[in-house]
Parts: sequence; C-alpha cells; structure tokens
Amino acid sequence: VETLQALGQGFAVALQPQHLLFAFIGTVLGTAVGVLPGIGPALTVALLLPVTYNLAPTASFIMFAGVYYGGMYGGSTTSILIRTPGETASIITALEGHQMARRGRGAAALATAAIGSFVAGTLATAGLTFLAPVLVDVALAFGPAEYFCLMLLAFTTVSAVLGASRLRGAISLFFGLGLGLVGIDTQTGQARFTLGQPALLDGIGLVLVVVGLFAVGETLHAAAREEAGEMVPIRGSVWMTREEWRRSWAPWLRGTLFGFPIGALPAGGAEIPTFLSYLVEKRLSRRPEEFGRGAIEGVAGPEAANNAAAAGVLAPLLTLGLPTSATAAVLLAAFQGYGIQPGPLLFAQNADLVWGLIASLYVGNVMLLVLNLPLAPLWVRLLAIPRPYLYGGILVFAFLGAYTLNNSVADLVMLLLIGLVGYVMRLHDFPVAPVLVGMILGPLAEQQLRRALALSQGDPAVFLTRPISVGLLAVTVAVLLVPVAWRLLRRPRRQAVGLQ
Amino acid sequence: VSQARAGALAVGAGVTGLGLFFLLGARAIPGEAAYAGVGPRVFPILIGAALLVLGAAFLVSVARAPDAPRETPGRRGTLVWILGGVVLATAAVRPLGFPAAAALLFTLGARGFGDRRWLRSLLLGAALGVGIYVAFSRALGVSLPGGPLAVF
Repeated sequence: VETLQALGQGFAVALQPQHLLFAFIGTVLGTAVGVLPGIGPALTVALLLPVTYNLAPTASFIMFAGVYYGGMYGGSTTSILIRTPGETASIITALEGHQMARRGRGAAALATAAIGSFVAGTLATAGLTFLAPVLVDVALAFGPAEYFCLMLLAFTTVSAVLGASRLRGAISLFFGLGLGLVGIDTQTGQARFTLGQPALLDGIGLVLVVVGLFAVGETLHAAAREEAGEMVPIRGSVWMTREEWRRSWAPWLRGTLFGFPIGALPAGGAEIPTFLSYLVEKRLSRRPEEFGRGAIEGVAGPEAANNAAAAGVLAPLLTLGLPTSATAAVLLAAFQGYGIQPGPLLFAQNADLVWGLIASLYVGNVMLLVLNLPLAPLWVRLLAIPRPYLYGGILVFAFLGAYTLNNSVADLVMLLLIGLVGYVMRLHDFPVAPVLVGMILGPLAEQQLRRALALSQGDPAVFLTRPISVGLLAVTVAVLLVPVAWRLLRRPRRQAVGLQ
Repeated sequence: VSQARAGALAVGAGVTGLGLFFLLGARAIPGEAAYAGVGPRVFPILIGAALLVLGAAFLVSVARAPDAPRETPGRRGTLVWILGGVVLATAAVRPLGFPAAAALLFTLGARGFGDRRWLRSLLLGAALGVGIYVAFSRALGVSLPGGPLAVF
C-alpha cells in the first residue's frame, strides 16, 4: 500500500505537462537513435548530458528514461528490416525478424516486437515498482564491506558473462578500472597518472569515454567495413492476424519472466534472457522447423525479454547505485553530475525524483506503443539517410558533445585517442560495457574497501565474518570457477568418445 | 604472420605495456600506506598486475590460436579521411569557430564513407554546424566559438 501511495505521488510528478513533454522528447529521440544504425541509448544520453545541466534533475531523468526505453523499441525496427542489430540484445531479432521480413511478414514482425515490448515493458516496470522497495530494505543493511563484495560480483559478471570471451571481457574491465584511477585520489588527495597534465587532475570524464568509444570508434569501424545490408520494404498490414496474436502472447509473457529477473541481477545485461527465451520458444513450439526461417515466436519472446531486462537493470541502479550495462553506467554518471548518489537513501531523500522516474516509465511505454505501431513506416524513412551523411552527422555531434564538456581542446584530443581505442576494441571483439562499468565503479569500490577496512581497523576478516558479504563472495567465486570446472569435467568425456 | 594475427599481437603487447605503465607509475605516487592499510598505491598495483597477466594470457591465446580466416577490414585507407577530419576540426574550432569545424568534419567524414560530392557535403555540414551553433548559443545558453559568425 505504501508503494502504491509512492507510485501515486510519482504519477502526480510524471503527469505534469512539462514532464510529459520531456518524456515525449525522450521517447521520440530514443526511437530515432534506436532506428539509426550506429548510435544507441548510451551515446544519446551521454550527448544530452551537457545540455541538461541547466535542467531540473527530475525532468532530465524522465527524458533519459524515455531515450532508454525508446532505444529498445527502435532497435528492433533496424534489426528486422536491415538485419543490423544495434546491440547484442537484438541479435536474435535480427536473425528471426529479418527472415520474417523477407517472407513478406515484416509488418507483423514489427507489430509483435512493438506490442511485446509494450507488454513486457509495462509488466517489468510493475516488477520494478514492487521490487525496488524490497531492495531498498536489503540495501539498508549493507555496510561498506557488503558494497565492496557486491561490486566485486558486478565486475566479475559484467566481464565474464558479456562478450565473446572471458579473457577479452576481463581486459576491458581492467582497462576501465585503469581509466578510473586517473585523477586525484579522493581519500589521500594524491594525483595519480595525470602525466603532469592539469586537465587530467579531475579524471577522465565518463561522457568523453562513452562518446569516444561509441561514436568515433563505431564510425571508424563502420567506415572500414563493407556496405550494410539492403533494406527490406515493409509489406502487409501493420495489424497482426488472429493466428499471429495467438502465437505471440505466451512468448511475450515468458520473455518477460526471463528478462526482468536476469536484468535485475547484478549480472545484468539483456543478452542472456533473449537467448534463453529463443531457445525455450523453439523447444516449446509445435513447429520448431520454422525457427531460423521466420517464426513469429522467435521475435515475440526475445523482444519481450530484451525490454523486460532493460527495466530490470534499473532496479540495482536505483537501489544500490550499481550499473550493469553501458546505458546504466552513463545514467549513474548523470546522477553524479547532479550530486546525487543512487542507493537506498535516494528513495528517502529524492522520492519525487525516483517515483516520478518510475511512473514516467509507464507513461513512456504507452507513448512508445503509439509512436511505434502506427508510425513504424515513418521511422523507417530514417533508414534512407545515406550512410556518409549519417556518420558525418554522428561525428559532428560527438565533436560537439566532447567540446561542450569543458570548452577544452584537450578533450577533443582525448576524444580522438579514445575513438582509436574503440576502433581497435571493435576490430578484435572486445566488449565495451565492462570498460564503462569498471571506470565508474572502480573509484567507488576503492572507497568502499577503504571504509570497510577503516571500520574494522584494518582487519581484512571483515569481508568473511558478515553473512551477506560472504554470500556475495561465494557467488563471485562460483561465477569465476563454474565455467572452468564445467569445461574440465566435459573434456575427459569428449576424449573418451574420441577413443571409441 | 597474417595481418589479423599481427594486429592481435599488437593489442596484447599494448595491454601488457599498459599494465607495466600502471605498475611502474604506482611507485611514483607519494604517500605511504594510509590509515587501515589501503593507500593510494594499492589499487594501481593490483590493476597494473592484472593487466600485465591478462595481456600475457592474450598474447599466448593469440599465438596458440589456429589462423582463422577473419573478415579483413576492407577499406582501411578510408580511415585516414575520418581521422584527418577529427584532427582538422580540433585545430580549427578555436580560430575558425564551431560551424567551420563542423563543416570540415562532416565533409571529411562523409568522404571516409565514399562520398565524393564535396560541395554538397560541405554545404550540408555548414548548415548543420550553423544550426547547432544557433540552437546552442541562443536557445540553450551554451557558448560555442562562433568564428566569423560571432559578430552577429
């Protein structure tokens, strides 16, 4: 009941005309960048940051939430029509949805993706509404030792679970941790790794890294790659047939059930639930042979999972201050820019902001359904922008975003260097999200470690004597060791088969 | 040694070098162990050591991997246009103003994607730059160097 009251307050905030306007701007921007290949919600929020510092935090975050959800909706359009997944979470949609489009059922694929995203987004936002207060209660029991162990777990899962290989994920993570070291150490006031440059005393800005890695790095990579695939025009009615509804509703619900809990875990990420949902739908289907050739269940389930996970990721971000995706890392940087630290206290001190944000997610979902279902053909026109102009524009906005941070030319030089790093990372399949998570969580982890040891007067046993931190450490070790053990256990069997 | 493998080896060497940089740099940080033992050197040493080990592991994995026929990046020469665009725009933004820098960046960026209609993209880029300049300095109150436009 208390939760519903708080949510009611939130709606009072979110439904103010000014906030509705920002939610609308956010959802439109988000859908547009989702549709355009090469830019995603993380980059868009990063580019919007300098603009919004003149704005009240509630309005900014309502807009960012719109961008975040909108990016999820728009991304499926690009995947279905030109088979270029904007992010790993829409790989499955690119496979199955594009097949549907080539068989003349592109409109139905877009519809099941949009409606599924709406169903999953709304249910998962409801899940967030009721999970958040519970997590807040848990988080209140957390001391520095627990926070440090939780961050260790997040580091492990973010780098081990995402990406092509655990080694590459770990290198990305430690690269990010290293970037986070640059600047003045908050506890001792010592300058670290500033190379004598006064510009580096404040550290390397996360926004600069996001813009460099995503915009410049992606542009360089796209230029070196061959031309993108051809667009399949939408054919058929936007409305699904009765048969298509019948085949879609259960995958939507199952996808939500995979997406939200996995997104809410510190493991985060939307990739795993989409893959799980696809495999389960294929297993449950009476026509598994259709999968890979355009089965509507294979679009409905993963798209729902993907959106539900996006809502799930917000739970640890808002209640624990723990980002588990690239966009969440940028959102955390946005909170820090306003001098707000997400965590259990956020719900007490900034109730209007948090609940207004959550309420605006419901509002945004409705807006996105309206924007995406009847207007899909309009968004598709964005794909007609010639690639040279699209990426030329992305470069100009990246340049603008980097320059307006501090009006400094040094930042532009950094932008170029980070962009080159981003290009090399893409060329060699290094995941980008661990860099951002490591960069923003590293300094916080260092701070919590010091606080924990200060409270225990230097006794490292503090991490092993408190039940929650022991549990978190045990899970961390399990995440690290289970796949290794699994491989070791399977190897002898394969050899035995080989001998026969 | 294939081009892809040489590149991967260079990446591994870079990671290892970065680890060394953090390890050696940590020694230059003044300040002995602070209260409760975790001074400003502890994290740099841990991160440097980790990068060193991971870089070495990456080098080993590249050396042991079979030579996979990776998709080779087809048009690497085209990157020079884009990199040149960023460098030129960086040099131009203060003396010539943001709109001129944006026009340069847009034109060279588009050339990097194979567009050869110079005049057209120069005009488009200039229009984009002027539009952003006006929107930012008039509507949002964010100051950008205007160059010749600053007179207005």
